[in-house]
Amino acid sequence: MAKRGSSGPFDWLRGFGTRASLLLLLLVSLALLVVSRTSEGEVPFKGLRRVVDDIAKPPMQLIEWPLSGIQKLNERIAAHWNASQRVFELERENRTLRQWEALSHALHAKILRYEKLLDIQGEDQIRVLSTRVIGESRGPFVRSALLRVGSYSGVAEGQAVVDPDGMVGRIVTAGKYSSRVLMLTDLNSRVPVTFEGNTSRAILAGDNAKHPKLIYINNGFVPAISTKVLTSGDDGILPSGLMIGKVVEIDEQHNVRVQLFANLNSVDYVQVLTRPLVIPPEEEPIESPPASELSAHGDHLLQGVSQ
Amino acid sequence: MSSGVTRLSSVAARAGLIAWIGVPTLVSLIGLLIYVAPFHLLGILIPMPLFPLMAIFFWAMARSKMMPPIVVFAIGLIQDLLTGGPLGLWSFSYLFAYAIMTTQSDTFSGRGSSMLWAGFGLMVILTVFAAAFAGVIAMGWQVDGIHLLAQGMITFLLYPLFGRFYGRLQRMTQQARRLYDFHHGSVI
Repeated sequence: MAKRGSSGPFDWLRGFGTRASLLLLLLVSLALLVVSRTSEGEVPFKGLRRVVDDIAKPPMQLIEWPLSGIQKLNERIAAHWNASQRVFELERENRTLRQWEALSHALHAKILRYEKLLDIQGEDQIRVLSTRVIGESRGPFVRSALLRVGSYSGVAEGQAVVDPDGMVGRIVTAGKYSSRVLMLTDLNSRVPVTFEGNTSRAILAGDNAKHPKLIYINNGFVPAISTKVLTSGDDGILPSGLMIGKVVEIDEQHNVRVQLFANLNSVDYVQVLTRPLVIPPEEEPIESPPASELSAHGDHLLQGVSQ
Repeated sequence: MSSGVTRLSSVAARAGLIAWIGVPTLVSLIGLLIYVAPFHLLGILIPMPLFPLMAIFFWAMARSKMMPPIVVFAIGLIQDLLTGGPLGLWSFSYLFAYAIMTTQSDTFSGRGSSMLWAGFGLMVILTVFAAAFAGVIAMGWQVDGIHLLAQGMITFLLYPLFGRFYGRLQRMTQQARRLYDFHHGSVI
């Protein structure tokens, strides 16, 4: 019986299968890349991504647990390092925040009164869902994070994700038990925005840089440095008025860049703002009223004409 | 009684064989989970090392049969899915580097740890180059090149540490394999 390592007439075939499969898999990878390129604006293989995110959730939680312990220890050491200075700063911040709190209560009461007087319709109640980030991608290609809440908790695609400082991103895929947030700095992120003290609209577009840029600014408006940028809510998904950041850079070609209020490098706890989606009237399912109701309505109209 | 012991030892030997085959894949997947775990140091963005690449290189050099192309492809694909990136990006990058490095395994393996580290340096360069190319195909000219280079550099610098750990694992799995071979031989 010939040994496996011996030479034979079919020796050249040894490793052929490996080489062929290598070539085939390289071609499959390239094909997948091309599909990713051509499906611009849409997330390709969304179903598969949802399933993998859901499967990966338990082991990722397991890995995240010791890492968060190290991180907490690190934060504690850093906090002790300049504790007295921090206490002083926090006391000062607390005094300022108390003044703002009193003012915000007064303004909130005023807004409620105005809304009642104007009878504003269509303002949804937003539910806040706090959760922890269990996975992150801050690589050279993608800026996204994995959350441990999914559609079973009311999370849906398009919903805004914020942290105490400002908006972080929006949900791009929502599995049953997990969901993925596309950070505002990601290449594919597009958020309709407006400016504090001005009604002009623009789109905040990520390009994998630290400060995302503003595109399609309407009315020829050029914001000043430090102008605050907020969500406009024009897409019917994001709530309006969410704090995003401030303008930090305007070049000679009027290219505007925004510094985000949220520090995307250290996002741990976030809040998903869940609210019912606004369905455009043309996409609403047409429900024909019962025939009896229709005929009664028709009779009523006819009566009006005859009178 | 003796047949019971033989059966038990056969089960242990089979478990050893599965461990021998599954360890490289499992190590790569654990590396992948650490890669996507949220870890911040004083609010600074630190590029995460490409842990799966270290495992792929180690077993491609030590025993390429334990790291076949389909496993490399699967690891890359899972990395694409877990990071939410374009599908095919990391699978292409890893496979490209793997394809070249497996043809050069005689040059780098069995010639000391510094030669192996140099080989890994080449593997990192090939992977970074392929990832940049794949990134341009999938996303256009908007790849964060500096981040990619920093990631490659950190991966290269950390390899000796992980390579030593993988070496220990390899020796352990090798013993499990020997147990299987011995048992298999004795049964026959």
